[in-house]
Amino acid sequence: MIKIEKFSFKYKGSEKFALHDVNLDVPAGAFLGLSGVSGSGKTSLLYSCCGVIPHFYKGDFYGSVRLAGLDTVETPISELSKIAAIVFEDMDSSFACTYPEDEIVFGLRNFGHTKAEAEEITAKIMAELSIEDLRGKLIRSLSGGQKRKTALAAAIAIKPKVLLLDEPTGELDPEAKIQVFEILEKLNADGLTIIISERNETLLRKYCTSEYTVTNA
Amino acid sequence: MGGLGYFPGDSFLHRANPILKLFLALVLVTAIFAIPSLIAPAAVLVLTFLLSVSCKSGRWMLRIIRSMIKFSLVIFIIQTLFIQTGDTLIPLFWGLRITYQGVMFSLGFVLKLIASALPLALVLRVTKGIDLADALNETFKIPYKYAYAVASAMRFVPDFADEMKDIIEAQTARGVEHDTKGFVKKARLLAPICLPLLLSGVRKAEVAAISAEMRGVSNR
Repeated sequence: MIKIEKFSFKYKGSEKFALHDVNLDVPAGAFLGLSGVSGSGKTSLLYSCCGVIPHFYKGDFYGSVRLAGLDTVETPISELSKIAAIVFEDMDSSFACTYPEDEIVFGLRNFGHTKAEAEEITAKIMAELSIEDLRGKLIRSLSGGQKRKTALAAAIAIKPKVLLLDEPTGELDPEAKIQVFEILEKLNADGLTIIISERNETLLRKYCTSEYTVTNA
Repeated sequence: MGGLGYFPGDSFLHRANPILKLFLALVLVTAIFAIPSLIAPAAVLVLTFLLSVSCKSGRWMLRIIRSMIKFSLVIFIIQTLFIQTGDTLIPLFWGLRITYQGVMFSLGFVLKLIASALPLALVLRVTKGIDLADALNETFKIPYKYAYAVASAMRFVPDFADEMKDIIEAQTARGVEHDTKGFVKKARLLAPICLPLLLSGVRKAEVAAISAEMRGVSNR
């Protein structure tokens, strides 16, 4: 699903490589955990997998990154976004709307669903993730766990082939962390390819089918 | 009850077509400036307030009016001091005076300013940003990306307010006395906050834009 060959990347204005000589092959249906210390390049690797690098973050790009056979440098982001969805670490800024239900509808409408279809899918996804009670509540008033679930629902609603998550359990309590991983495990069992960057190695080992340690050395 | 931005409800204004609401707001604003009499802004003020009450936002509207009056007071004073023609009402220092013409003009100016802001604030109160973007895109064929950018701008106002509160709290914890009533002192204390707030705003906007692009905002 994702094939990275001899990939190195240096952000514009930086003298140091964020990623150096990365080779990675992620098969369809994998649940890959990215581990590594802070600043090791986990976020940069996730951004590279879906085309955020180099489309939004410019710099020196060496080697190749292919997503479902498409070269991420040559393929427009509008095409790559049909294949991969990403949940950002800074979720508060990444929400496009004020209410959870609108957040899910937003992506669906962008990918061609009518308003009625989008609302139907939204109701289904919210029920699946047990977040129906969040309807009509301001996203900014939700707890960390509820925000994560909302972001996750918005990402999976558009039925991506690959789901990328950047430290999705950041400030959550242990119970909420397990809840998020259980949802991901279920999605993975349904065939979704998942790549997750996570500091908690115990959780990675328990839920992921493979692990990759990122080091920018 | 929230500040500027959408507030859920089921009133006739909530259910009305977003473009119709926007059009009516623009008609009211145009009337304020097109009709020379002060009756127009006063009528718009009353009408907008009554409409707010009809969608259970009367108290919110009063709060907005109160905030705008505070803001307009500064403009009123400056404007009055700048107009030195007409009959003297109050003689001031250094040859300055408050004139009848200055007071009437400034009063009309701030009244128009307040009245013209309210209809649009009410439209944003009763219309979801996402619905407004859809309507602008479908009716006027404005590229969705731009319609969305316009409609979602309000979504970031509370975020900036929170960010500012965080910075003020962090500075207070380090001994900066933000709890002051002096306008000049307060302005001097707020000035250094502007840069971190701006930088954080740019970073948030960048994440928001990438996130929207990754969720196909360019596909429409």
